[in-house]
Amino acid sequence: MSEYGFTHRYRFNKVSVLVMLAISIPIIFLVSISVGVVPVSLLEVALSVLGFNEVDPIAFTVIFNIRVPRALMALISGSVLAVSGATLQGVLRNPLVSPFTLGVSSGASFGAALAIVLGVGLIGSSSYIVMFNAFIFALIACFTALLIARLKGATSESVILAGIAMMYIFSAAITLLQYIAREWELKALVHWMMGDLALANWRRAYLIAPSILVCIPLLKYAWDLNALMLGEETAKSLGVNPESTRLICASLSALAVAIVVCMTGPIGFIGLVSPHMARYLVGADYRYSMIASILIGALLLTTADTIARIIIAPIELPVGVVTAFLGVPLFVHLLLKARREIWR
Amino acid sequence: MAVKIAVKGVSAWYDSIKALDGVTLELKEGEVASLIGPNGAGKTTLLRCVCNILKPKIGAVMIDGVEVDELTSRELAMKIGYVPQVQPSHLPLTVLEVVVLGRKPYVNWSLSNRDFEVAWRVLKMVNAEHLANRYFDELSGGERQKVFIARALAQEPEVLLLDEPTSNLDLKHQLEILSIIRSLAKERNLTVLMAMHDLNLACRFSDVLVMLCNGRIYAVGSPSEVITPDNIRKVYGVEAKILKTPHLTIVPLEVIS
Repeated sequence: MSEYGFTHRYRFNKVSVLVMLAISIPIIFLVSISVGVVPVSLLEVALSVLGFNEVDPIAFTVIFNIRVPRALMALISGSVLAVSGATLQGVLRNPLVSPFTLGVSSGASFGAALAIVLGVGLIGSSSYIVMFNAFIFALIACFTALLIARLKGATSESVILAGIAMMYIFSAAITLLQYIAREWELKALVHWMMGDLALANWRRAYLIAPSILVCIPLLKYAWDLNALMLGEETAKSLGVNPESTRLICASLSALAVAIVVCMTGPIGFIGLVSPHMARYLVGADYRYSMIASILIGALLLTTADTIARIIIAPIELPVGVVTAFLGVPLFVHLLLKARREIWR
Repeated sequence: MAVKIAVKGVSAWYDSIKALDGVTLELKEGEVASLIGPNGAGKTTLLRCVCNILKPKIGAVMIDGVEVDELTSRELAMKIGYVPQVQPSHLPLTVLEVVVLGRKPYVNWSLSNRDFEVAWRVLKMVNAEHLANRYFDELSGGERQKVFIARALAQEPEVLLLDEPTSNLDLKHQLEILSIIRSLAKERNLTVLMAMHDLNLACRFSDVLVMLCNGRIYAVGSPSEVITPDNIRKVYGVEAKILKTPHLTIVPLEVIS
């Protein structure tokens, strides 16, 4: 008759899984900032993080001006993509949904393409023109999708279809821009659209940081998402308003993901797969699976970015490539091992 | 007995289609009432209006003399439990986890011991305690229906709305579930309103039958008052014979052309 009766059929106790994931975060953070072209031992890293200036100045600069902001951006981006994916899969009751289903990535890419190819920017100085454009067009894409869906009562289908419509129209526009782009512009654009953390610096880390706050309001919807598992009619009878829950959660997710994507480019896979991994580990209860998603997203992206930096150093791979190569085997392993289908 | 639910002149539309037309009805505490009538008569619509999922354009539904629209959705969820006809066919949850979802109106984040006590108690009420730690997907149709009813009972409601609780169930589960519902109504003063297709079962387990036709109430009363060959002919378009023993039984004979 306790909450333990609730969990005992799971492979792991949910809380201990969350604790293990949480402990892994500082570990991967330290590993991430210690490896690279200038290797710094974990001990030195730990000492310098704690404020003991016992590292040499070059290593110190590399760590604090390049690796720390980059690792922080990876942790934050991963968390935001994952929590948005988990929320959207819940409110839209569809396991194939990712944060980019609302058209955020296509909108952002179009904005970036406008800046890169035509040099057209809405606001901002030249170095941040791509970022601001990407942000604005990401928001235009997903809020247009949500407005269209709202006209049809904001059902899951209408939100997904409107998002896909946005994706197609912006993809077409991107193709057009690619067609007229010059060679170096095309290269820059393709690189941007692969998603990358190579441009990380402290200013960008500060700008991306507020997006993590979205976790707080989204977690407040955990019980509403739980109720939605029972179907819309039952959820309504339990006091949940599916339409407004969908619109609020989707808007919050879209805003946070737009902040991330405009600085990193569309890093796929994390937002789709982290929620599934979370459910395999802690079960379907959104109170646990959303927190697990946040932690898994952060771990996955930081690990992938670390590997991307070092695997064929000094050349860096785009992080999106590594997330897929790293995540898919892990995902397939869990898929085969899971005793229970979380989604039908 | 006090009036629990009062439906006052309710008319409701789906877009431009009128689904309910001036329905007025009163249910007393501890009463079991069945909504009967052909497909599209408005049975589900009336249930949805009572729990305020569908807001009637005209008229109002009162619970304990208070309009349901004046209660917050949370307050209403503590008073009315609803088991819709269409239910998810897959849920990645154990039975106990499904049932505690019914505690939603009472919970902010953590489930308390009391929430689990209620969940165990309602599982016992529907004779499904032994299923508590089974996965929902492993259950048979009849067991699932018990779990959904337990989920609604976990809201600790005063009114239970059921949309065709026995469709797709075997003979044993039909009788078992309706007996459970009836005894809950009588022992715990629960007011039950359910949509039913099986007229024989409706007669046997209800205090009141509400016969709906084209969104209007055609007849209300005790089973023996409502179930007459004449009413069956007019509402269903079927010629039928009514047997009085051992239970009120309808024997359909043929469709009237």
